[in-house]
Amino acid sequence: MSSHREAPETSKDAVADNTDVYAFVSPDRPDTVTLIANFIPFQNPAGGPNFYEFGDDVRYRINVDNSGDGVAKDIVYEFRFETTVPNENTFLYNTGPIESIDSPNFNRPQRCTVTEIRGESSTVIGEDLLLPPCNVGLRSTPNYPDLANSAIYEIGDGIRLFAGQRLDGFFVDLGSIFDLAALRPFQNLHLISTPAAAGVNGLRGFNVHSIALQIPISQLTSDGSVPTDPLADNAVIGVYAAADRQKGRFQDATQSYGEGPFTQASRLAVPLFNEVPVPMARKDAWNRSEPEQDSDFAQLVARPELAGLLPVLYPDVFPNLAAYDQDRADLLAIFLTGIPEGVVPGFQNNTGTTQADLQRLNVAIPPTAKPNVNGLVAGDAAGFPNGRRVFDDVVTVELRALAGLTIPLVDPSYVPDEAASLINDGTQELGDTSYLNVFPYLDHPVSGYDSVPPSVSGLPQGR
Amino acid sequence: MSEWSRRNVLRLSAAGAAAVAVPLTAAGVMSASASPESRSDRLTKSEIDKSGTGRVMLCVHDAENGEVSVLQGSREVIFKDHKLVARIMRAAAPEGS
Repeated sequence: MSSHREAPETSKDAVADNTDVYAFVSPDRPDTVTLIANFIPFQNPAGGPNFYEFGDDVRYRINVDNSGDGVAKDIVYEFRFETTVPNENTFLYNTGPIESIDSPNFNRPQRCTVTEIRGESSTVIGEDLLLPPCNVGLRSTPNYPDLANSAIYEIGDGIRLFAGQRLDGFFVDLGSIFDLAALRPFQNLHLISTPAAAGVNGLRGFNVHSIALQIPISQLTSDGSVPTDPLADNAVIGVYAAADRQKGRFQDATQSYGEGPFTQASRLAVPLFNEVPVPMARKDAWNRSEPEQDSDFAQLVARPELAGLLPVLYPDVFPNLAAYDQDRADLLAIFLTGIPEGVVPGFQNNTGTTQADLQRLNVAIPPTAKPNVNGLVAGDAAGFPNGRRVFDDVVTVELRALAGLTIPLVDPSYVPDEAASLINDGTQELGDTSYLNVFPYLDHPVSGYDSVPPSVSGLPQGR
Repeated sequence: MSEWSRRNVLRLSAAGAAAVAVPLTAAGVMSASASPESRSDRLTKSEIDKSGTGRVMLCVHDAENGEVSVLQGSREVIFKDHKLVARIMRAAAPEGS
């Protein structure tokens, strides 16, 4: 969740496992859009001596559709990483305090190269850019915010880049969702009932690795303009992130290398797409396919398994949802085409009829001064599913949509169950995640020295 | 056929034998071959230099259709060569089979 370990193969290949994608008009620089792709889930901050890093053998991409055809190949940003070990005679990640990103005490520096591809034109817009180390602790990485901020680069033509470790900004009650969707605090209504209790953020205190770009809007639109009319065709971009591996890999006692073209190992746009609608047996195939091939998966969105399970798991709570036997045109729009003009007054983020899982952002919608974490369904058109901000509660929005709250957008005769507007996983009110008001918006990572392992309250009773 | 001629592939197979995905060694190819290797079958130094790193990976996904996938650098070349596939499969076969 939202795409952490979501498929069998990527769950065994963490550096190529993208966990979240964000796309939003930058609140402090509204003439730019910020795109963030996160990878490497569930980082225990104390996980040394080999702390987390991007894969040198992985090609990372952020892909943009700006032509309204649902094919995100108009602009591609590629990221490659190269790691060195300056001191080969120590097991240590750092041999002293790392007070600058080029410190000789840092024994695992990683550098980034960024290439921008527009059609047939490919341009290296950033090269040899040092990443910050992971947040080890106050002795090894003192003044971590300054250290990390020194790795924010200006590249290309007014583009900002940050690549490195961040606090995971996603929040979800993993323990409840994967225990037969016994959503806290509603588990007293569950088929296998237990007393109601507060939600638990299963990602609390874990870090991820982020690639964040802040790009002038004029560089993202098809005609180089900065749209102000949300209903204009050029106002919508579609975004997805991906990680690729070479087709061939060789390893023996003396060498390890790859050969052949890169092929997609993981992709992500709208949170939970591969996680929830796609069945386990098809998740790896979905990761390897292109978004514009998603009509192959459309029926899974039109008749989502979870929408069928909710009335079973919560008897008598979702009678209207149980009785609804139409394809879910609301979910098809949210997940696969964007919301067309005429559904929400003054808003659209449609990219045509091609069904593709893309994070669709209408760049003509300005940032909201007082954002609502429930986004568009709560009247805040600057939030999910109009792109996605770092703090949006996408789990609540999608749970409510799956529970039928968004059906009236396309079928006014449908009356949602009362529970559809109440359902959540109990983590929104916890407030145990934090964010920055400035780029890269995701907060600095938890340090290894300061991290506290999870509670042992769930250990087996025989202990 | 692509820029990769069958002859070149055979030569590269021998030159980069330690690197191919199929466990293909020069000796293995020789033993599986109907005819002995001649001097003209070997790559010249300049041909090896032209091949980049001097290594390729060969994959035979389905021996019956005779298709060979050659991976080198960031490229993949696919071609059909039943004779080559037969040699590779014979070289790859367990001893005594």
